[in-house]
Amino acid sequence: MIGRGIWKKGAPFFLLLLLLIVWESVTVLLKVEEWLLPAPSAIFIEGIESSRNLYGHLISTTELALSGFFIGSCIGLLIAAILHLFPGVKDAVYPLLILSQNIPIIVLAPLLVIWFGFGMLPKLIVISLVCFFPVAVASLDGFRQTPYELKHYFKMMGAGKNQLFWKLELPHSIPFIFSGLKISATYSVMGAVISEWLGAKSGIGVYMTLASSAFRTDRVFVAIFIIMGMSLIFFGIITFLEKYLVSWKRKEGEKGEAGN
Amino acid sequence: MKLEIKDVSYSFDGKQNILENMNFQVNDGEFVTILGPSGSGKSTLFHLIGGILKPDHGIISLDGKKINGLKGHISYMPQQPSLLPWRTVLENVLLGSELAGTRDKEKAKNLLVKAGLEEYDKAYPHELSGGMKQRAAFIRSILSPQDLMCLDEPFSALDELTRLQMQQWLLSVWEENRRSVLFVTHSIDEAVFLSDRIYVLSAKPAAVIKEVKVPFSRPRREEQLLSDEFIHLKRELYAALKPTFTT
Repeated sequence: MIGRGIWKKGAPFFLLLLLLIVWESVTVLLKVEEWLLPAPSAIFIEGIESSRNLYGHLISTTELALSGFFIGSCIGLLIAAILHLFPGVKDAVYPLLILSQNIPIIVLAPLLVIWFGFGMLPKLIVISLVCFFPVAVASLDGFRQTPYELKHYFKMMGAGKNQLFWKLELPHSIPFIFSGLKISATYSVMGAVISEWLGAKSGIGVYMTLASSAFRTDRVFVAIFIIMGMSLIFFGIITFLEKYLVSWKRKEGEKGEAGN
Repeated sequence: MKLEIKDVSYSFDGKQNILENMNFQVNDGEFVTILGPSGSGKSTLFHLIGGILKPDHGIISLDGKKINGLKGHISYMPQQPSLLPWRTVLENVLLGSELAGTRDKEKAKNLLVKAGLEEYDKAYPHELSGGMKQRAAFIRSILSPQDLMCLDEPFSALDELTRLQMQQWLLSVWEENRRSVLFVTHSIDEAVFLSDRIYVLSAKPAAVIKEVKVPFSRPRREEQLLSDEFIHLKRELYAALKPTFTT
């Protein structure tokens, strides 16, 4: 049982380790050129060596991703609430929301720079555009899936639209909102990096562009691993908050599992 | 007179009536039961009293005031407990009064003691048994400030034993407050044991076909369930209900 527990928790880690070992051996055995595919160990060493330089980039990307994530999520929640409370608006706007996700960011980003310059604004727009959608869709589902019998009780007791929303639909959809936030959190890092490609003084995106134009493949991989790490950490923070805030749901689930 | 239903008719499509010329009253401090077969429009009747639906015809009045299509005038207890899973039991029982703008935490705590739920005030609904949930839902409707309580088959999902306990418990709490109650059920035993008066409904379209006064004194005791008078009353109600089964 204990062995199985370790396996369950550690499985992704073991798999990753295995992949790295295979990667390392292939580069050594086949004598792959460093600029083509550096070995994981070389990437690791490079990461350590340039850590002082990376720190500044990391901070500015984190700031950008966090503020974009915050703005995007707020907009997503707000849009969901408006669409839910005004069904007429929903019919008109919902298809447009889906269309907004079909705009290729790579194409939109340079346009935003032309319109708004190289400051924070175009970057925040890019990240918000990526981040608002999962939150909006998830919250909208949460509002809509409020159990009928609870809504019925509220209506029979004479609850108004306001009370229905704040006391029933919003709290009910919090687990849904968190699902959306988790996706947005991981997207926000990608969004930040892409927006930095457009032109920024610092950031992982900048570091990455410089590295790839100098054929420093090892540094490109350092950047990739940093992006992955940041996404994981963001995801972890949201999961932690969810556990704390939606504790009633977790207990409910545990009880259900015990019953099976 | 607390609640008066006068010549009320209702149909969903304008053609076939669900309720037809329904007439009945609930007096102050009276426990009145509507007894009818499943699908006889009992829920529709509650939706009309609750103001979610508007009658096509007739008048629903509370304390002499017409409340056709007006919400928020009754305290309601639904078939399912309908407790909010993210609220503790204490916060849940306060919900009804909160929606009406009157929260009284002390009173809620006292009533939870009466329901044997004092140790569960900080628990979440999923930690309670079916009977406990219904007790919490009943406390919630008692705490709601409206004078008339409408209970919609509140015990129909419970097993027989729990049901009997719940009926006795409900009476013990109710007899202290004596609010006007309109209770809906399809169980003859339940109707006789709990009520002062019983109206029997016909099925499709629903109309009152019989009114019965229950002569037992209060507080009610379990032995009364086995008395000749009780059996006699039961037979009378069954005879009235029987023609409605065929539809």
